[in-house]
Amino acid sequence: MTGFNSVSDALQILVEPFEVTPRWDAVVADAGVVQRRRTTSWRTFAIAAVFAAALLAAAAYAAGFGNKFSSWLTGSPGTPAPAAEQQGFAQRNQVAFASFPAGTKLRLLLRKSVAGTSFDLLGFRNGDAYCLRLVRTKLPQAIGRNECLRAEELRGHSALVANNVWFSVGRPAQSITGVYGFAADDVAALRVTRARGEERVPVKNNVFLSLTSQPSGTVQHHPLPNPGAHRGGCVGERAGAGCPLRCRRRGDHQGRPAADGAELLRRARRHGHRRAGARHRPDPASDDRLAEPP
Amino acid sequence: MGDRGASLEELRKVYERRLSDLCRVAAAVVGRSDLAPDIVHEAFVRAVRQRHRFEGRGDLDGWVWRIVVNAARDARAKERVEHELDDLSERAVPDDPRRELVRSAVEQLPERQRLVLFLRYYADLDYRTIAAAVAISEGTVAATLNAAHGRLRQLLSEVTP
Repeated sequence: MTGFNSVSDALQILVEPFEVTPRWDAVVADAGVVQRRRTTSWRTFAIAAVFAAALLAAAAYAAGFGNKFSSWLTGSPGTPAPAAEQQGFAQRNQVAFASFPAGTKLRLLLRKSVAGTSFDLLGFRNGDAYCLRLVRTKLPQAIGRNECLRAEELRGHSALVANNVWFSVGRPAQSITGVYGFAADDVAALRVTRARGEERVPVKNNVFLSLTSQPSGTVQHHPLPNPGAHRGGCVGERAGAGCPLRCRRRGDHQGRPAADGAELLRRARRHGHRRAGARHRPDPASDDRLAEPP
Repeated sequence: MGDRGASLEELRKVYERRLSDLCRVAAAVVGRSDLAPDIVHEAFVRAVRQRHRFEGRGDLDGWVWRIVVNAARDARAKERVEHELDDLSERAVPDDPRRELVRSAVEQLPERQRLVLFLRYYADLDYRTIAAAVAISEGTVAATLNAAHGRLRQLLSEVTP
């Protein structure tokens, strides 16, 4: 086996053992869990005082937040989700290992079609999180894509990309890439810059959805992918004012260099030449959580 | 545990006992070591939030492993889409040729075989926990592991050093 005594030997050199510092406190904090501790009476009093102050701060914060994403706070955004989509979500949720609370009610926020395929962007609340579910209208029971942002993550942003998704639909296959997220009341629309082209997407119910499609290609011909909303690739427009706003992408790993649309296109061309003839279609075995049947 | 879900303390013990192994498997699944700690962190944040959903049908380790494996698979899928545009020269730092050879061979395995191999060799999990993590039966774990061994041996022996 080319110098390896066993499969184990071969695998050991592939990924080195990790030395990681545990950060359990950060996990608990990020999960929004308040850990209970035994306290003396004066400590209890102090904590109660801090809690009361936090409540006041939260009320003030919520008031400010409500002004920005009012449809989610001051009422029910959109319309109740169609029964099939509510039922499809419930079915998926029921068999999920880490599921949302049973009985979660969905709202239909946006419906958009691309390449003859209709997609629905649904919204729901989960504790302090605001969640979006993107699913094909005709396949309400499909996995779709769910993404949640906590209220504090939205704070201070006029617009925030929640997810960058890919679907493969139809025969011959079409690759549909999408970007969706939240936008504040004073953002009328966003311009999503892709490697090739730009799309202006209106904001409705404090959310936006950008979808684009292209043939998935073949071994001989594989078109370049055309994703959007890389850092700096999404610009918001204030209603009436036309003041551009940066749209920050959630979850960008620190240290990865930002690239604008021109740079991405340049890289894509270079990449395409290098991989001429390579099969572009993703491995269905590894991407089955994203791909959906036609 | 059981009907009452998992407690924070139980999850903390799994986290502290298994963190290195979890990161190693996540790195293997996603193909990038630098992303592994973040993936495991996010997976545990999710596990903490959903801890009351643990039904106690299997052991807690298996439940946690499954969340981490799913998070790593999601990250891998995202990476594949997002990094289609990356310049290969920026990522393909000259590496150990033996490692490249193994990586190439492992990439040719079906995903399930890869997962089972990683969980077995990087985390030393027993068949029962692997079965819970990958959502297959223990018998399928054994068969998958056997097939993965054979295929990997074949792929590695096909290449002359």
